[in-house]
Amino acid sequence: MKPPPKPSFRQKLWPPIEPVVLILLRDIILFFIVLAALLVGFAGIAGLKAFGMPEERLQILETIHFWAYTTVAMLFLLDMVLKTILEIVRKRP
Amino acid sequence: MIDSLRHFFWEDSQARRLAYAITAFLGILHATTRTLVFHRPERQVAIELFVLVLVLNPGVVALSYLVNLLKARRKLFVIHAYIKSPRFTLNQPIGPLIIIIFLLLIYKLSHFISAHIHITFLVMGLTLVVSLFAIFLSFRKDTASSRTYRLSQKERYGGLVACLILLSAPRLSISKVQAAIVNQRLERAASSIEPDKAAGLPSNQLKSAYQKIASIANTSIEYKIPANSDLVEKVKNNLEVTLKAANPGREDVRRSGVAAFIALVAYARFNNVLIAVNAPTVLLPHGETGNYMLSQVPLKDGAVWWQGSAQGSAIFAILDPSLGAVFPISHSSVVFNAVNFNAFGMRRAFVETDDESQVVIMNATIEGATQKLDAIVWLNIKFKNSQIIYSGGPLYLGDVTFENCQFQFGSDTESQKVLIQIKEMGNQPVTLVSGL
Repeated sequence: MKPPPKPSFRQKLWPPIEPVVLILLRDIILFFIVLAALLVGFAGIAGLKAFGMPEERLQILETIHFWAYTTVAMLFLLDMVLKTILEIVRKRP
Repeated sequence: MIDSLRHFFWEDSQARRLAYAITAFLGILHATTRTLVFHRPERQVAIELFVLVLVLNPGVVALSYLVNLLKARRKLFVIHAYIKSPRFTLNQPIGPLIIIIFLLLIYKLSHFISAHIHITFLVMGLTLVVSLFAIFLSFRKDTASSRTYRLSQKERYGGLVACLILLSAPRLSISKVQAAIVNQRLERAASSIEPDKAAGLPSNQLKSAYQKIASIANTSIEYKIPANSDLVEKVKNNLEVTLKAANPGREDVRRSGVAAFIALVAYARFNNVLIAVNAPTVLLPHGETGNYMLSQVPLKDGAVWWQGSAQGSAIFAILDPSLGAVFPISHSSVVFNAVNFNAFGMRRAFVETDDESQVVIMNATIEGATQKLDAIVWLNIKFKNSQIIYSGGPLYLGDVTFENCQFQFGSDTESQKVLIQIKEMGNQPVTLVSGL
């Protein structure tokens, strides 16, 4: 009787980390989508400048856009930091 | 507690996303209001935002979970009974919910009532602690979240599109997009003031067309948007012919036309500097005083942009009349923006230019100088205690004020006509172009 084939390096590595990678991947994809939306917003503001929108209104849009970038970056980083901390301190079964 | 928190951050993405969306919305609203309405410094608002995100995030996560929990158990309608019930304790869902709402209200109120930021931070810190406690309490019972480790179709395609947008971003030049828009606007402007068409236009429409052209030129100058030089020349030529041919019969319409023409001439020169390859920008930092003392800076065969600081920069001429102009310019395109000049009445000029140069001087005060106006575009300039020389050459004055100045104008008809117009305006801003 043949012994069962030894699992390859990939087979040994992937199964335990798959759920973690997929969860992180989902968050990263969401972050990319928001980032892309903000980039489109940036191009939109630049377009409005060329169309001659009044400076005062543009300032409001630019402020919202700037704080949106900052908030999204903060949320993403905070989420990653908390995830890491929780993974480190959790009780292993 | 660690397991409960881990459950939040690693497993239940739906509720977390909702929580992040609410936090992001409130955070942006808070930071924008603090910046635009309360004019708080950016650094302070950034710290406030960070603390707010830190506080709101667990708070909203707990809140969303509690709502889900209540929905799942179909007990929303008995909230009142829960509070009144003698069994009501903190480890029941409604307890932390009320605490969170209460603390968030305190936070918002304290923000407006208290002028001291440390009190606000104290309240926010307290909110954070209690929110974490609430999360712990609400997750003592299993919320039975669904575990799915597969990416949905939406996430896959959304991510793909986002990646494509982000990867193509470095190749997409915003200034090219803006230039395309400005070119399109200029094309329309050129056709709107074609001499044949403009002759039949009523005064109001003509004025509106002029104002639109001035707006395009001024916006493009303000945001440094380049455009197609041929197109700018086309609009400029059309406008010049229209201004010479059309007789609107109304002074305000004619003035609008002249103002548009000056703005366009300035933009044409500006554009040459913008599209010149490697045109350097000389930024004058404010430093201690924002003042610079120069003897002479000859500018030859090139393009350069001199930009003053936001607080104001001034160039003082070294007190030696034999040196001539501080900026003798030949065969060059030069823009001076927000650079003030003072020669202390020592008969020195700010700029001296030849016929082959294109010079724009804007947003400045020129004091105690002996300045020739010919062939330079002057936009939003104030001359004070200066000697002004003009000898009938091309003249472009857009909102130029002459205060306590002496005029040394030629005896030709054009010079005398211009002198009369300037004197008529007194200390008011003058907008005029020679020959129009």
